[in-house]
Amino acid sequence: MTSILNGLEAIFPDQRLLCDPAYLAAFESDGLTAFRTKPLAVVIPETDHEVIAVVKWCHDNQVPFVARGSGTSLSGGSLPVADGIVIALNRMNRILHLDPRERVAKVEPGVVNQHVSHAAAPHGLYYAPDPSSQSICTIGGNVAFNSGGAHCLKYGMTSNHVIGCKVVLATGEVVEMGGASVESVGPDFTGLFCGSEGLFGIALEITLRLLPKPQQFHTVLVGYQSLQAAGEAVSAVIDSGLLPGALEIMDALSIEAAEAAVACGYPEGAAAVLIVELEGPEERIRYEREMLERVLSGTDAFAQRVAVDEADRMSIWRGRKSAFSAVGRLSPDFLVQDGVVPRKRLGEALVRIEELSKQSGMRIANVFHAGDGNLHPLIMFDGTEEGALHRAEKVAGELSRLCIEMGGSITGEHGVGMEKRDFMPDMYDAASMDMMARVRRAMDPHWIANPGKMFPGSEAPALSQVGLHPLEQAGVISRE
Amino acid sequence: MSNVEIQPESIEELREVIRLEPRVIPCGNRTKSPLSLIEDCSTVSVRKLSGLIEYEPSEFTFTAWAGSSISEIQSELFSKGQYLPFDPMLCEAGATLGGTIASGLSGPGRFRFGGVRDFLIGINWMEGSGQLIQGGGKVVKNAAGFDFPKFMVGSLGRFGVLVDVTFKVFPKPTATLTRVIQCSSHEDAAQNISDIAAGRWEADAIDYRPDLQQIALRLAGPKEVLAALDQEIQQRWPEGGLLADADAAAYWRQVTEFKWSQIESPMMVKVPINLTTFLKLQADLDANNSIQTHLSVGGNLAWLAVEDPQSIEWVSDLLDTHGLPAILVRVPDFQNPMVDASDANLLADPKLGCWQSNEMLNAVKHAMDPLDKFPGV
Repeated sequence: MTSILNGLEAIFPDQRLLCDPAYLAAFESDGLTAFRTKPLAVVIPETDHEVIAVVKWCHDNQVPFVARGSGTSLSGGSLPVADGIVIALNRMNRILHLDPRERVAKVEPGVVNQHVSHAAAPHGLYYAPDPSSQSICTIGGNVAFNSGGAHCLKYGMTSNHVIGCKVVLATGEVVEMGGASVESVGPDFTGLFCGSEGLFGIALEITLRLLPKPQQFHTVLVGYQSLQAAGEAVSAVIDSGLLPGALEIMDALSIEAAEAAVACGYPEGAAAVLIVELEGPEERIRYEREMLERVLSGTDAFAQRVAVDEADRMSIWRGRKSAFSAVGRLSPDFLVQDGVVPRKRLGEALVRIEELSKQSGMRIANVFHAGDGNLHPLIMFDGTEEGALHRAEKVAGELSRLCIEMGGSITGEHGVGMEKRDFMPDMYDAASMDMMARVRRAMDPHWIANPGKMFPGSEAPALSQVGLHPLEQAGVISRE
Repeated sequence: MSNVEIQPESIEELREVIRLEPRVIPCGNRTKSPLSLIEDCSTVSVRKLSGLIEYEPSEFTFTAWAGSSISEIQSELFSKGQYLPFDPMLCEAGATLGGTIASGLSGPGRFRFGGVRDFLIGINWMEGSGQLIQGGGKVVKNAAGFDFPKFMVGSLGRFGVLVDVTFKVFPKPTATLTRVIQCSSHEDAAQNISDIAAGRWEADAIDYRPDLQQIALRLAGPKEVLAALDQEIQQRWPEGGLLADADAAAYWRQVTEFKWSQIESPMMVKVPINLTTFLKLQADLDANNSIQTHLSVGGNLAWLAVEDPQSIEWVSDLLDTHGLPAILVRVPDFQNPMVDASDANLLADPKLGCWQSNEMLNAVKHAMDPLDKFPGV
């Protein structure tokens, strides 16, 4: 063992303190496969005492650490630091307490998102945030990156469902934020902690709000001859006063990819499909589905399919949820982008994306959460072609700038991480960036918690490889 | 403590005041006066930084100056069929957007879709040096940078002066319906609240009056749908009745304007809570006639109306024994909060009950307010 790691063996037995390069390789990357870095060591705590001890050790020895759940970050949020350690939280996976009467669950950070809903299901409850990787991603990572999903317009993001956290800060101090109530007094530290990208410390316990499962869903798939027509349909739905649980658009390229991957049976020849999902008590659905039918009949749709049962609904969603991984069938490599524009400027943004595609000669597929203006352009390229990755990155950068220029955001749900950190100063002025740095330093004076993320100018590891994550290839995870 | 207020009319004027005054406590229209009664602080009201800056109904967002009165903003939203679903408090009394954020107050409607924290998506605030700082953005979905907008909710003006704020809004339901459910005990009420909250009906608000042992349940949506849903609720909880529209409006207005209590000019305390702790707290409060409770937000928020300023210390100690932090948000005459010298002492700190202090709080306060321009938390 490297002498620098002296002291860790007193906290962890050999089998949970990994220094062998072969083991470390498994942790060198996350969902953003473009970046790879081997850490000095990986530790696998099983209790909060062990997490606190290792964070204190890092603080005392000024060794950087990166907390990691399932490593599904698409912004390189859990990319290791070469001279630091990875704290793998997957064994901190206990649901500590589930209280159906209060509709809350207290969980450890390594609990998989979907497992919360599974545990809540017997009580008619569920955990609302549903990132596409929900079958594998962990609550700790969701909290760190304020993960989204397809239902954010109506239900908000992760932070809207976290009511309290017990956190070990990078200083080793253990603090309680929030509590057992959805209400609070005093500054909202829970809200500040959510989305802080692991720069403050590590959540040891997280209290989540649970919602009653909607009684019924009404899912409609609509085919359009143009993206513009699909975009106009979104506006029509919004203007009608309906508040759908989900409003999603896929363009022709992403439909082609999804068809090839999962044969989702989307309307043939569609230039775009729109998925609208209503949810609620059956009486409300009965009323709103008529409303929705009226709205959609006024749009330029050429095909429509209403899910007849849960299996049919799942098949509609399968096409959508698999879209990004499926693009791997059209192109050996691709970069997934995550940006937000005001909803009314979606059409304009799509035209600009098309122009960028033509100028760069790179195909770009589009999938987006249309209800909240969250775009996910996929830039396709062949990594074996010289300079192709660089060109793709350039296009990705243009897309980020486009979102800022339109009054939107460089990230809707993937976070800044390693990927977008250089664009932060384009979105926030120097004084605002400085304020963030000051707060970060207050939580982490040595700058050891997940360094190299969110703030520009830190050392970046060289780009090494692109392509589908092995788990994506296996169809285990998908991107949104 | 002083009632003299500085009222800058522009960002430049605000900057000048912030730079010149050694110590500042920001406020809006002072509808929650105890929160801005701070010794040795100049009171700076943003009430003249008022009005809508941008409103895009199709985006579900608006940006307004922090000193805008909520009732003015709401009438703009209502005219476009939209609203802030968390039932902002003290609108009729003149509450501002900035004051609502800083005090962190949400009304009964917080139950369904979330509170101030869940609808605030962007802010610009002025720090102690006079520099404007941006937090969040203007689009409904944004994961870039630290979520300062949420942090400012409940921050009591201790970290800076809110200048402009951006909120997410929702389509306003076309109708509401309120049913009162009579309960046999607080325990029965807690169970009923829990059952309603977990039910299929998508309740819009669930409040409870312990003195009457009555739950008020509000549904929101198309009229036809509400009638059908209500039928089932009535069958399940036959004790009680439907409120006429005017009575229902009056009921919820009394909650949001702090007029539900029979105590004349009560002091009002906000207590975040849950059903389990509420039952324990209420058992202690039932014995005290000079304190009344209104349980809101499906059991997550208790408002305590306290008759006598001298009882505040007792209330604070009681909350402390239950491990509950709370804030005093109203005193008898909010226009003239200086009750008398001894009462004023009791009201000097709006923080009641069990507040935890830690190094993190001090470190963040120092980082955000290095000049110590604003009072401590």
